Amino acid sequence: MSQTTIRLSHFSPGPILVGSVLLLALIGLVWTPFDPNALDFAHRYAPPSLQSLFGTDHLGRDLFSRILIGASVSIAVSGVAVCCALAAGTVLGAVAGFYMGWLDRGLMLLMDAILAMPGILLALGIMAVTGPSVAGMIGAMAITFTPTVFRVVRSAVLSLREKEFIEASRALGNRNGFTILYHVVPNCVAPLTVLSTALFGSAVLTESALSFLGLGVPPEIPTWGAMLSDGRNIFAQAPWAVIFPGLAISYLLLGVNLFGDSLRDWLDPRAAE
Amino acid sequence: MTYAVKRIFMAGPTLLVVAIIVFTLMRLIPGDPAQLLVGDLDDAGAIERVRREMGLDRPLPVQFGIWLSNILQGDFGRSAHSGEEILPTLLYRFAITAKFTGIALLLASLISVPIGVVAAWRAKTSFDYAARLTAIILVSMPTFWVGLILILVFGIQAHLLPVVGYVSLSDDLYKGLLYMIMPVTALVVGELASIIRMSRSSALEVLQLEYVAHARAKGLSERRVLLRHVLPNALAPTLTLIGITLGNSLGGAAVTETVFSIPGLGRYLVDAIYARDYQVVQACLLFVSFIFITVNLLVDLCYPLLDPRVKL
Repeated sequence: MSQTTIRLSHFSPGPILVGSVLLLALIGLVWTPFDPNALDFAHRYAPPSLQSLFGTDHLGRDLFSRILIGASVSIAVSGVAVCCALAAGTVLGAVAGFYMGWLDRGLMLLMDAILAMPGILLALGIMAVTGPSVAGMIGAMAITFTPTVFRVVRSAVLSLREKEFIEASRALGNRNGFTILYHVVPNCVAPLTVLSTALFGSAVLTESALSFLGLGVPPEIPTWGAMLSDGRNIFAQAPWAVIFPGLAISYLLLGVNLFGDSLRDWLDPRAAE
Repeated sequence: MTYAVKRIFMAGPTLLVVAIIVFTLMRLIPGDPAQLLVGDLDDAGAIERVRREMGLDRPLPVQFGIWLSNILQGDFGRSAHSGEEILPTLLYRFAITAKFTGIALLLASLISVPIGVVAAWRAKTSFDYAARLTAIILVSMPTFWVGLILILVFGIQAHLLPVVGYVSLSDDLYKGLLYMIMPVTALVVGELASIIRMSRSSALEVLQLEYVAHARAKGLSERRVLLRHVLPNALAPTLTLIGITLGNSLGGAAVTETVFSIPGLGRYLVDAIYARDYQVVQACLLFVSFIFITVNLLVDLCYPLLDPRVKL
């Protein structure tokens, strides 16, 4: 295989799709065509036009502006949740795999139990406790995702801990914490990168589903899920209110999925073929 | 045999920890459960009575013990909202959800396993690329949005299908089926993609094995090679995925059933959360987790039937 075909087969539109959503989300933070929460009863149910790219809803709010804000909410909430899960899962997984024993067994039991509950369901249960809130949403998803990270790190550590370089680090008198941080964790980066894109995708999906139910991000913040829930009631008058928020979710997820696939092929060439 | 016994015994502690998690979650809810049940802030006597009746004045571990032993005897308590016993409603609602998820999963597997196997057989042809592209696009569309779009196109614009609602199959078979078309389609679309991807990659692995080459060298037709040698061996990992998919669609039922106004278990849970009916929330969470664990257990126990290398 020549060099160019290798490069071509690694080309993926994923980063472009994700990058464009990121860019739009950043733009949305500083500028939107209209105030996303401004009511304009003179222009209710306005179809997509040059002034209002995606049309307006039953309160005359500009859907394009709301989708821009929704992008930053979705990305920020999902991103923070995945980071929390990565941090918690890595620490717990490394500790469990490194020390083994009763600590490991206890943690495994807890993580297995969390994994035994369907993800959205557990998040729903946690949101039932906290009520709709951004912090609750982040916490709920972080707890739901931690066991997956935990398992990856733990099994990596279990296979690493007998390797010579870990033994060398111990023989040099390094403390366990140091050995874990500088020698064990860096070896988990590749599988964790692939995993975190997958988790980010499910986070976007979970957030929009729970916000759709009114149990995620509080309703005063525009989110794609909440927009779909509003749009559902004005189907007949404004179909665009359902079409565009869903397209936004699908576009971002498509980007994340393509990105994840190419990342996996790149980091784990064995899985590519 | 030891594996099977071990696997069944391992499910026990997991279920117990799930029960502890669910119980703790519901106790973390701000407010006094007894007060929530009575609903009347001033009636101190009633609150005190409920508290004693439900054992809420006892230490938490004791409360947990009482709750768990009641559940093991089939007593899920009563709904704070309607006063009905929870278990009969729970089972009735679950039967509805199970019908939708079961039919959808069956259809999705019947469609996508052959597609995945053929895509692997014809790897790197236009069929393969088309299948993979379709899969990645489908997997990116949220099921509830697909549902909304189906309603928009077939219900509101074309007036072909009833928009939302539910008619029991035993009441009116034709109407019941008509109401099922859209929700089931939305579920199938969501499940197709992951099953195609999984069956493709496991078939790809099997195709490279020596016994496939041997089967071909014997002069078997490609059809026979695929049906007798590749498909059965590619099915084992796919079965595991199907177990996980079932769990996801049980969890996702909360959203799909809201979209289509189906009175299933998911809707029961969401309505209970809105109504702050925590007895019901607790029961639903535990019940669905129990079903999910049981399904995965069954999948694990069936695995050796498909892949004899894994011994029970």
